[in-house]
Amino acid sequence: MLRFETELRELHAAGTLDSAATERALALDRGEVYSLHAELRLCLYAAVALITIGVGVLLKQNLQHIGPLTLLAAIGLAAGACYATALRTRRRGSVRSLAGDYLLLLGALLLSSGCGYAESQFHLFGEHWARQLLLLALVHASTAYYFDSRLLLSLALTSLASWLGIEPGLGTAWSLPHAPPDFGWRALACAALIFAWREIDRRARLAPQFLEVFDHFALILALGAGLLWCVHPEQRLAGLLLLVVLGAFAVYRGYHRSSEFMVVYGVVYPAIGLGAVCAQLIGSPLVVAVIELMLAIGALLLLWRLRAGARAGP
Amino acid sequence: MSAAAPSAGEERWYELSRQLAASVDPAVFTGRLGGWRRARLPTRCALFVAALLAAGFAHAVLQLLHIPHAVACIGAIELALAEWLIRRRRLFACGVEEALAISGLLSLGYDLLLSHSGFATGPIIWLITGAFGAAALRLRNALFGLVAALVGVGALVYYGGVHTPWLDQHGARIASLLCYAFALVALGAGARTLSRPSHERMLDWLVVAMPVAGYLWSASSPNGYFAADYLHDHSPSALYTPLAPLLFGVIALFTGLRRRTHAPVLAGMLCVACVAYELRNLSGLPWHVRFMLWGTLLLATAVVLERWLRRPRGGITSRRLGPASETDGLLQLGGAAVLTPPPAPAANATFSGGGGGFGGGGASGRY
Repeated sequence: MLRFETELRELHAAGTLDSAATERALALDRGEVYSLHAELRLCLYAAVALITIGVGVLLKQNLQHIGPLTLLAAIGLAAGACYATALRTRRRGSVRSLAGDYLLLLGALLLSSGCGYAESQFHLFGEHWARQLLLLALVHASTAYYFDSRLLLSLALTSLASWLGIEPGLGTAWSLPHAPPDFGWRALACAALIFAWREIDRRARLAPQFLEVFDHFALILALGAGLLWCVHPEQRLAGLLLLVVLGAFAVYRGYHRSSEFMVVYGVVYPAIGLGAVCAQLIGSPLVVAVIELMLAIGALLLLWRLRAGARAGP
Repeated sequence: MSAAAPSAGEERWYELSRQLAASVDPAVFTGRLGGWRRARLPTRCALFVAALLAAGFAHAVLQLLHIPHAVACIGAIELALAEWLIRRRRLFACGVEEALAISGLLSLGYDLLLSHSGFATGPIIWLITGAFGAAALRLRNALFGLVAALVGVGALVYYGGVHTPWLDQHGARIASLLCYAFALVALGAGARTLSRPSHERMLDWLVVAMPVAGYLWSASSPNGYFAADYLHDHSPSALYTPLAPLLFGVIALFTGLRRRTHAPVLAGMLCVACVAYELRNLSGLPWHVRFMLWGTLLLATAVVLERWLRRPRGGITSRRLGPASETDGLLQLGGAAVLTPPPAPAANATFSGGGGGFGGGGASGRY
């Protein structure tokens, strides 16, 4: 066990910590107050993941045993119950709890599953079935603003990306080198849409706490598009340029928002892109290895120089 | 002031500066940190990977130049560079020096092994144990310590004199017992008041990961992971697999709550998950139904606990006591995005706007 009583008292004596802050810190240090917030959040996330995966498989495998209407009614009821708890909290004017956040997320995920299933069964949009994803993005976005939930906004942005043909996830990142070049255009279009949405949000002061979410989603999508272009011979130059410009922008953002992640994106993505282009253009393995070595060292030094700035801000 | 590593006091001040970052200006602590520089998690991880890549490319360059003992040469340079970064540039837990040190140790050991006994699995596993152990002690790195312990258990059982066939039940049981013993020792050692945060972190990682490793060893067989038929097989040997994590989980959970530390509580939660996984065939229900049932049970438990603990009970609360970090927030957002159900294409969809095979709406529907 670690105890910091001596150090805390020293800070108090030096006037760095006032009496109230010292008492709070001492109570935490002695274990008089102990929070299970992180553990409960992990449990809630695991529970939501288990239920969502279970429902997904149920919808895929048991169509013949249970009628589609019964399934849809059950999922709709469950999703409605989850939304109802959030609605009740909001109507009472109280702040939604951690459990309330995850119940709302579960409701939104069930709604997504149910909509996908309904579309596959009843072909409500016919040939334009992908429009249900846009509709879902709109519903999740509206509820995100209504309930002030960053988790729902994350779902809305994911649905928007899916509508444009980008399915976020580790699988997508892994198969990026084999994706067709037009995937890059779609990723870039999605990033532009998200950025435009962000600007509207910022100017209208709708929800300042959402700006960070927009920033990360838009940057990851745009940088992913740049990386993809770097492995396609016709678009290498454009990909590299895009990565350099966006990298500089990410570093700038990282400095202004004191975000280390942004700085990491800004250095790592262009370095990978440059490495990929060099590996394609240069025939000699020795020269490629030397260049990649230089690139790795360069990225390392740049990241080290920039990280301090990202902590402290401009 | 030591040149080789931060003193206990310097480490403690750094830890406190991290904990009080929201309320106290970091500049207040500058004079107390002994000039040691550290990186936060995102940068540390990126620097670690970049340094490992640089080490890998350096190896490739020397190999392509056909320089004899290139691996040993690069290993020695990496070790020297890591020491220089620590002693001269005063880097501690920054990722760079950690990557260089582990890469250097592994390279030197590999070259030594290759020139003496050739390539053999046993010595290689001992080499990994030794390299990670030495790096963990030198750099006080919890991850390296954990890898050394995990690989060391396997090395001890299968290449340390017992000489049982790989993954045979006897050897796996001994390895499992060793893992639980390691975890219990770490749990016991955590009761002492420690002076260094890095030591506490090393013990924490052992407490969390070793029981899971213990369960995996006991549940393994040369053919994979198969749950025993617990409805008919009540032998102590079979029951050991679910009972050991259950017992450790209960002990860890109570210890964590009594000591007000997080690692044992997390270990307890993981042990319960191991037990639930081990008993997966008990009900005979389809696995998606089990997923939904376990999920609902977990959700209900968490919701009840969260509500009940909103007002502190015996000092324990479900409320957040400090500000959320950037990593914390991004993990939540990423976690939510990953859970989004994949778009379900209609059976007779004809839309093929390109990108089929990559999955997703707007694509051809193939995924």
